[in-house]
Amino acid sequence: MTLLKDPGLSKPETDPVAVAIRLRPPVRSGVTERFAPSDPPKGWDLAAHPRVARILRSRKFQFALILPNQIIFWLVIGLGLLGTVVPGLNFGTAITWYIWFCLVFVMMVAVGRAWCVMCPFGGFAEWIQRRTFWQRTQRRFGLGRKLPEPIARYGFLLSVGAFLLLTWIEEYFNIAGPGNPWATSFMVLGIVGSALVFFLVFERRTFCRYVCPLTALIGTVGAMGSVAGFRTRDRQVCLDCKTKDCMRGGVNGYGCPWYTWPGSADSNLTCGLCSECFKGCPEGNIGLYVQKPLTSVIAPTRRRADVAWAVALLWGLVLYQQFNATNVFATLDGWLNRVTGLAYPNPVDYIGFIALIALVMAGIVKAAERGLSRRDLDPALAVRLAPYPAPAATHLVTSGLALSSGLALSPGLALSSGPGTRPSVNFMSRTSRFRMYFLPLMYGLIPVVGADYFARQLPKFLQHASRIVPAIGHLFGSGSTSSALYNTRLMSDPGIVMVQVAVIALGMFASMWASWKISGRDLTWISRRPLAARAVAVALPLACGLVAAVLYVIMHAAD
Amino acid sequence: MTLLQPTVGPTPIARTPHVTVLTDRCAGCQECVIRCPTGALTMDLGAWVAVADDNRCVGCRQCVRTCPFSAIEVDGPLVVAPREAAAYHQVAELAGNLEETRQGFPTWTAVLAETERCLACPDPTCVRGCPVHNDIPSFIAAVHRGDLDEAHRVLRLTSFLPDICSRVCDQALQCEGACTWSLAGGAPVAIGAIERFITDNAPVPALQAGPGRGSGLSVAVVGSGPAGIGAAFELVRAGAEVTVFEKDVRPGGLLRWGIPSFTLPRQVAERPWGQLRAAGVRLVSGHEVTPERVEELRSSYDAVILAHGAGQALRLPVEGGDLGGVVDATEFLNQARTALIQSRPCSLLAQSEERRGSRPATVLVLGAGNTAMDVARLARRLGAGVICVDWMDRRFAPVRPDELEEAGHEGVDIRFGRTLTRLEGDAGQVERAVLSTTRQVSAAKLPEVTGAEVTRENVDLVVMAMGYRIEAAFPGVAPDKPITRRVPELVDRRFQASGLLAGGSPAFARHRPVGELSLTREIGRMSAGLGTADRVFVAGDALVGPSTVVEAMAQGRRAAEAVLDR
Repeated sequence: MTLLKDPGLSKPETDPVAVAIRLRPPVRSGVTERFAPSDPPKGWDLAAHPRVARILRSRKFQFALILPNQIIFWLVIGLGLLGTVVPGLNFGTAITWYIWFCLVFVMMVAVGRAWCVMCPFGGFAEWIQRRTFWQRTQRRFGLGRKLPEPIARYGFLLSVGAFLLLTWIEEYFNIAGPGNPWATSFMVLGIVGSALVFFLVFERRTFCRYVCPLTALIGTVGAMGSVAGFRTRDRQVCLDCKTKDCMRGGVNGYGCPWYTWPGSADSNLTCGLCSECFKGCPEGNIGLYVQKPLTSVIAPTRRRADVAWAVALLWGLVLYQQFNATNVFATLDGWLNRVTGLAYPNPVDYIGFIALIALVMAGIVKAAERGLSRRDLDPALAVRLAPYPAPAATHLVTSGLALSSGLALSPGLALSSGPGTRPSVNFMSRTSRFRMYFLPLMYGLIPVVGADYFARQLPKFLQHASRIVPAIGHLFGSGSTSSALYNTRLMSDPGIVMVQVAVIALGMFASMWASWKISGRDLTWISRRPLAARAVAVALPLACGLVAAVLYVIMHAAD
Repeated sequence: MTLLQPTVGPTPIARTPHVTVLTDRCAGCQECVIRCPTGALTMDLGAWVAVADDNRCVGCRQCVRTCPFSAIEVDGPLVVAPREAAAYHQVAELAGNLEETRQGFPTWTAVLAETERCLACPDPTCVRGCPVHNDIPSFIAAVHRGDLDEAHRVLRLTSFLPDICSRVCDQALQCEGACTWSLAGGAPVAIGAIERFITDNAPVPALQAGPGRGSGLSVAVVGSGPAGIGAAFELVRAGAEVTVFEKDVRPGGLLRWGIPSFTLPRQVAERPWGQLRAAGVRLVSGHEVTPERVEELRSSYDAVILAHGAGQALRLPVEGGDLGGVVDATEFLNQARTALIQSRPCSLLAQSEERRGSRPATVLVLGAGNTAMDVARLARRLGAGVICVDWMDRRFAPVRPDELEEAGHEGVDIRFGRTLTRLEGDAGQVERAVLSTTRQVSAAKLPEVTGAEVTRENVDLVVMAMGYRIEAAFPGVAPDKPITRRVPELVDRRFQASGLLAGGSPAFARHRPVGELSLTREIGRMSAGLGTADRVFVAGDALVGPSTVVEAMAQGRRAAEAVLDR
């Protein structure tokens, strides 16, 4: 005898305890205003097209994107260890350093986290964690821990640290330029191995969100991208949802591996484009939106401290990579190596230079803040008023309502009230006058920093990209160092420098424009001299762009 | 709810709970905000993260359990008064005494103090823990207002047996174990005692029959126990015509013969059938339905609900098990109950009187579950000495500690880690039991008979009370073994969102996983509504194997709902 249906697959339409559910209403007032600046236009939903929706709904969608990269990178590992030691002829080094590392930046700028959705490192480890290539399973391999809060509160900074370390290793072993096949293999194996360990110890994509050396770079530079990510179609539906399948996992989709809720995403910073939320939402309330370029730089209401410091540190790193191609650096580094007994890159000038640049940026901002900010403002309250258009917020400030912290304010502002109410104060949530300037100004630098990273890769691409053909041929016994394409450059050195300067100029102007927009919303109403604040905001990327451009001229297309 | 000073012991302490929102991981989904019982959480619109008011927080950790990203932490005490304990009536003179031992709250003061502890959670986990999903916060609030009629009205939406369930349910594994205070590691609201207070102080309202969506339907129910009662209740109040077939002369099933009066007084046990018959349910008693008859019933009625229970007693296949004086629990319970009601000796004990003279009889009870404890305590009231043996380790035995304690108070000698190896007798009557020790290393493993210590006990009666199993009464339409209540890998998201599953295995619930238990019960309840053949449903112990009164009632109701929905 069997039951007529499987009880495990039957789900009552109504919650069996519906009569006793008396949930509090979610906070709705002020929600529309808060997200209006960053919500993409309703009609820009790619998933509204049935064919796109069908692809996104397929559980094989992401597998199909990851598989080719998975094959390539295992080839990279294998060929790095077993193939030719000539970097230009080794497919592993050629594809990684001449093509991939440039292409990743194009993807960041154009799309955002396009690489993350097809990444073979996280993808491989996730297959093992989930015990499947694409199915929706409930059993997982691993311990499923959460990243401890004392570490997690620093957000992307862990990734920045990993990237700094990886770059130092890359410089030390000269892995990337012109390329060291053996070292390339071990580097890739190291990343895959680290990813696997993290995926087996921690839940979801903790590695991708917090630790991956590239995630901070991709997340910040990717804010320039034109893909907004998976966002809610109707936020009220999300607020009414009692199960949040997009976060916990539903029948057809895993809970968001990136700890992102489509209902509150206001940038593409942490959307890995995996489409799990799209598959899992029982209401079909999630779309894949596109946005104007730089929207995720300009529009977010909540600016993150880890992103701001990541920008400052990454700016320091890319300047280091330019500076270390100059004679001045060679002299300094040589002296330090003699004094410390270490080799290139000397950790002292490596860390010291990067930290110095970051602190210089912070110092500039601090000076601007001291000179410009209104002294009558409570930073903790001002941050909460930030979502509102500057005139409204200014009115609230000048009318005295915002001067007393902890007061409930006018209708539409759902602020916490009561003497005991306080947000948790940690690195991510701390408020200060300095941060009220530092965060927006660093966001404004994202385009010029991203452009600098891209420009930094251009010599490898423009000088050596054509070697990919003989490298592939070499696998089949035909390519060699005397092949025509092996010695063919796509551009001369002067041409490369011009392209680099042009890229920097593009990034610089994009940054200046973004900073102008950002300062108009976020800085004018907290500054005694609003126009001066905007001028400073625009001058900063201009100065950064000029510095980078001059360095490229000095570098003479060094790779 | 009145906020009280946090207490640990009699002296209030100054510390309040402290809530930390992990702002990196908090996505502002407001799952915690909508579920906070005290409204201590709201939103910081600027940062779009939850913010907490520590002064309003009572430390229940509901937010921690419900957060999808584990982005909130609470440390500090539970801000709640100590739990009021319900009274226990220690019987001075056991012999022939059937007075109820468990008491409810004696006064309004006591019950009001306990209702104060209820947080009226927005997504109440206690309701999910209750097999029949009583709206517990509502009836507690009604008691708090002093409105027992309203409390009964709320209870009647889901339960026809509040007076019974409040006495016999193991609340620690159900509503109380799932209470938010319990999940937070504290003492839950005494939900069972509050429900008992309602039924002690306001009579259970009469059952009003239809008309309703069941009008015109005619349904046959086989079995008059809790599952049959639940089905009949649901059907008759919807206006259906209900005929219940019961093989015994008197209805009630387990309620009548399985639970002694000192736990479930007779007038309470008989109340449901009195009201059902008054509402028009037709009872055909002394009528056993055979498998062939089921087909007839299916053609004569619009639907058939099989609620015939799991009546086959388990017997230990042991040497000497066929001696006289070795009986199963059903036989002993029936005989003992009749003897006590009629104030005469029990015939099962009288068999050995000649041999033992004036020495009181010694009864050996195998098992330590509900039935075994009832058997043992009845035997004590018959003047016998009682030894209870259970082969499981005390640490792993799924027994009710309150029943063990009550039995111990009444002089029952309970021995864990022992098994019966053989019985020895004379002239066809049992005289001695040979017991061996067992060893059990973990809850997951069955005990092993070590035989390290062998004892011989003189016994006059052996009662095998190791439980029951389903009989293959209706092949093809009713299971001959319990259905598998496997919780699906993807659990109901609503249960998960409530935070019940994240509550783990609270100490009050005897370290049992209350969330998983509630899900398995829910599977059983849903299964009762799925049917086994066209217009045939099975509910209660007959479907899931020996379980509880409240689960059986819930399944009976669910089967009836399925009939009404067709």
